[in-house]
Amino acid sequence: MAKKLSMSNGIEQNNKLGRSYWNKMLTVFLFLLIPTVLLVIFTYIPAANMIGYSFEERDQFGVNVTFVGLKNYKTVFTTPEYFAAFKNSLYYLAGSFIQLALALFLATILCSKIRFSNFFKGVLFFPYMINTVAVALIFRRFFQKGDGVTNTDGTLNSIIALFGGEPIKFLSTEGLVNICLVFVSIWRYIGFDLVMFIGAIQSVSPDIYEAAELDGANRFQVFKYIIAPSIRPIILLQMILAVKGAISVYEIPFIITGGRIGSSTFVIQTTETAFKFQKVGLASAMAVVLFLIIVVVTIIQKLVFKEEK
Amino acid sequence: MNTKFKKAAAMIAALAMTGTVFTACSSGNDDGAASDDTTASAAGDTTSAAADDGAGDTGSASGLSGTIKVLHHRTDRDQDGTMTKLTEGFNAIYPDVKVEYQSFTNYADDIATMMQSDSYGDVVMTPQALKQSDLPNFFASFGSYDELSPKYYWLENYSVDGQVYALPTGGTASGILYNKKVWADAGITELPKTTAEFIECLGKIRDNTEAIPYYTNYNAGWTIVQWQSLVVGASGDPSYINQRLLTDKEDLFSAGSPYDAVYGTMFDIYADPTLHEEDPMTTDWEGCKPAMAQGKIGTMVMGSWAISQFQEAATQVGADPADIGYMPFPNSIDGKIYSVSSNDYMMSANKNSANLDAAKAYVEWFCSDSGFAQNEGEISGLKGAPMPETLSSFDELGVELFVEAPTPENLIGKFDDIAKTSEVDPWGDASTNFKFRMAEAAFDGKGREEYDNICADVNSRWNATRDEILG
Amino acid sequence: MDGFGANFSYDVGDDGSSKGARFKRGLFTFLKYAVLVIACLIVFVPLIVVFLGSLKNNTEFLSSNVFALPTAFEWSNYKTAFIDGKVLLGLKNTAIIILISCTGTIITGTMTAYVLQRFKTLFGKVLKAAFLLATLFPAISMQVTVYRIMNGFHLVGTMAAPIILYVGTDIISIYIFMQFLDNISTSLDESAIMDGANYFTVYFRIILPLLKPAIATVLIIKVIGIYNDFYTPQLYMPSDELSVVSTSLYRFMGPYGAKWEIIFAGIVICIIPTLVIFISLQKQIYAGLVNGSVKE
Repeated sequence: MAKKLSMSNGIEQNNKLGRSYWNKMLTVFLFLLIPTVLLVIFTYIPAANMIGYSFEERDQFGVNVTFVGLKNYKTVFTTPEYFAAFKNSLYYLAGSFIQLALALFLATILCSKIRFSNFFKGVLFFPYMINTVAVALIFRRFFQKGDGVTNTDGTLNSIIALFGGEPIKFLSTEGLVNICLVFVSIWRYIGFDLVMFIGAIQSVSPDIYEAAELDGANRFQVFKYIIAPSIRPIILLQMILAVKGAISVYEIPFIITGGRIGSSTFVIQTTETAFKFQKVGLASAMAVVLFLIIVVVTIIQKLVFKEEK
Repeated sequence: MNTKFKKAAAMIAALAMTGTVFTACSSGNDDGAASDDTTASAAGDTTSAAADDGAGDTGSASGLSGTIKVLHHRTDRDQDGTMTKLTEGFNAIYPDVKVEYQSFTNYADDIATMMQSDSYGDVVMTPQALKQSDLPNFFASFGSYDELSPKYYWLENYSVDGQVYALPTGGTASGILYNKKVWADAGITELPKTTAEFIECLGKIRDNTEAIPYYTNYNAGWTIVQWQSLVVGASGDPSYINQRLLTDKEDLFSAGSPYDAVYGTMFDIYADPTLHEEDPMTTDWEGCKPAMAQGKIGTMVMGSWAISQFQEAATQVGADPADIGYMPFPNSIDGKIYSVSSNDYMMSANKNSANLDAAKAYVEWFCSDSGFAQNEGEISGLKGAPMPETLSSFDELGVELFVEAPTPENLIGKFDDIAKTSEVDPWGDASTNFKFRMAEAAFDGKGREEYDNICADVNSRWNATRDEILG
Repeated sequence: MDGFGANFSYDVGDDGSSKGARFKRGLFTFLKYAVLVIACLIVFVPLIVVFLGSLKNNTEFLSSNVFALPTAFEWSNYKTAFIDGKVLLGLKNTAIIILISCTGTIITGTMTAYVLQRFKTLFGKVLKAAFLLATLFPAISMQVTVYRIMNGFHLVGTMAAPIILYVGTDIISIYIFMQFLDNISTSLDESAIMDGANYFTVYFRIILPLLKPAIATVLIIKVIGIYNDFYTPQLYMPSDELSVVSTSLYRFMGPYGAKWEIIFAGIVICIIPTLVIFISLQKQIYAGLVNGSVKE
């Protein structure tokens, strides 16, 4: 209203401002309408439903619904088996930090004077483009130990044999299987981090590097004072995604091992609770707990980053 | 509950890979055949004519029209045109009904999700996970149990308040698949009569042939569930699961119990790395079929539905299909061996269907006149229909093939309840299931002690939940 | 501006005058290449095995070493995989979905980024937070409830379902667009506004063209993501006529699974289109990243 009043003052500048205010609001409204509607309908309403379910006992057909209050949450927190699966998340968490560090390292190398950098970049990015189902099958063969009757040794065991080693049952051995799955995960996703980092590093103006060069900065200093700060937002984002990813790992273990040989994860357990034990209410409570854990981790991470600044 | 059985068969069929023509046909009314079972004949044996008058009651109603959508799990049968061909038979009776098929690779999961709404086709393969008491919420009745039970097997677990909500598309028997030539080459002249003999036989295969004695096929996951289908047969008691376990409150696992006989045997085989394949996590279901046909694999626990697939694989690789043999699980009870026959997927009509009559007519036709079960080599759901030839070996051994007893009214759904709530889930394949824990303990060389620990854990969880649910 | 390209470098430091320094630099360069070559081998080896395997016949596949070259090229594996796997249908459906989803993502994503980055409104801030929060939701666990809503709109079993999910729940694209806008000075669009242009004009005439490199980036990520997504089409488009590449590959090798060598052929077929697209767009995306970041 204030703007409108100012319009009536007849000052041209104000007139412009007033029009532009409404123009602006209209733009905000129109431009954000579709994304907001989609976000609400397909993300927030389902999330709200899920929270609702978590206080109910219901099966996957949506019949037999009874309100049970906090019972599902109590079950989640008092049954140690449910949390045991988070143990495996540690493998993936460690893996994702290795992945970030490796990606950063490779990105730094690739941004230095290097021949065929596009080729290297392309090759390293390539696995990210491969279908998950295909990846699962590729690596089942990769880690296979042959029995000499129905099949032969897989890729890795063939390499081991080349060096005279004994073949290993990678996927049938507890503990080892998780390391294998983390490897697959890094193999597949490192390219994405790499491209993001390279993009961020290259976004720094070359003038700055030139200036640094004139000042006699060495590589490490360039990295520490120029590269690192400029890509901090991307690192932060990737770390959030990495932690979230590690806690909610699903696809790769699900397709390769089905969560067996001690490779289950919390999300696999959640879907099994919903679909195999038909406890959709309990599964929703597990999902809510997972979400809260992710939120807490994210907040901690953000605080740490802020502190550092 | 028999649900279990469906579950096994269905799981197999759904997840997996069936795909083939069981050679149907009929060696007729052998002693082992299902005609003398408890349940089955409960309402009297009016059977002989059943096969031809299948659609009799509906056949005249050919004034039906409209389009119906059939949701099913046999993607292979969609792809090879079998389903479309079947429709010709249906349209011969109901020319104005248009039938559309839609098949799902993960049928069990997808149908569960779809049933959250009203639109789940007109005809569906009855979801295994649905509780018996919930059937009327989703499906239309085909008539009363008293009226239909003389005609079809396996209706007990699909009836609520005397009304039948699903009809059987076919069924299978439980047992063990083996390569006759491998067993003969190993110097085995007589099939085992006890589980100990069975393991000895596997040892002979190891010692005397190049073949892998037992193939766990562990990677696929559902394959281990095949062991559960042996349990009722191992008990020799049609009411073991549906009644005895619940009313007598037996532990699942105690020395010599049916569960112990089955899973103890499994544990011993899995614990001996010389008896099974090298790397169980990288096995391959498709690959094992020709491998067994060619005598590279000696033995696998697998429902009878698999026989024809292995025979087909044998033909494809130029091996002799006659080498594929089938035997019951050798847990003798007073010198007699038993096996159980159980239903594959049942079929139901969506009660919200716009063309409900056409949908019901389709189901009735499919389950009695389509010839589907025969083509697949399954046991027909019609009483009095001949046994498939794939099971002819059972006669030679004098195996008694029975159908599970119906669950007493007051216990309906209880086994499922206990199974899911306790998460013991004998028919389940969740990664935390006791079967996987046993298998992995065995692979890891943890020994019988660990087996006993798992049994004790299963017993305590089962018993606690059972007492809570049954009071 | 376009001159920097991908060879742009920050390599600075010792000027290499002394012998020791030169040796050090030589060693350093050697190590750099060694690291890259090893990394590339790790990527390559599992894939080469797939390619070799896809050219063997069944007997050879089961008996030969994974690294052994095929004695005769068994191209029929590809034919089997291509026809039985219904690859053409999958490609067609995938292409349609990708086309619509990408168009949608670019329009809504750039608009959202523009508004959120340039106008500091309260609602914008809330929405930004809502988007960020949404990335933390456990997506897979939520599918039961999402499915119910999709179903309520009668969208299950249509291409609209995955398209809506691809367009409507994509935060990473918005983030990338916003990052780019951060690096684009506001002076251009501000002066345009001062000259009387409205915000739509500014968006279409100034912002959208400036965002081109970011759009290239988003496109690549998006296309790959959709092309490889298995879960969404499997859940929302279960019928065979709506197969996309990943689900037809899965259906082909999952349940009625072919033999390994044919599966491998299927994998190779499935990889080829992405490889082609990637190679042809690769330069654009890298150049785009650099260009977008050196404005002003």
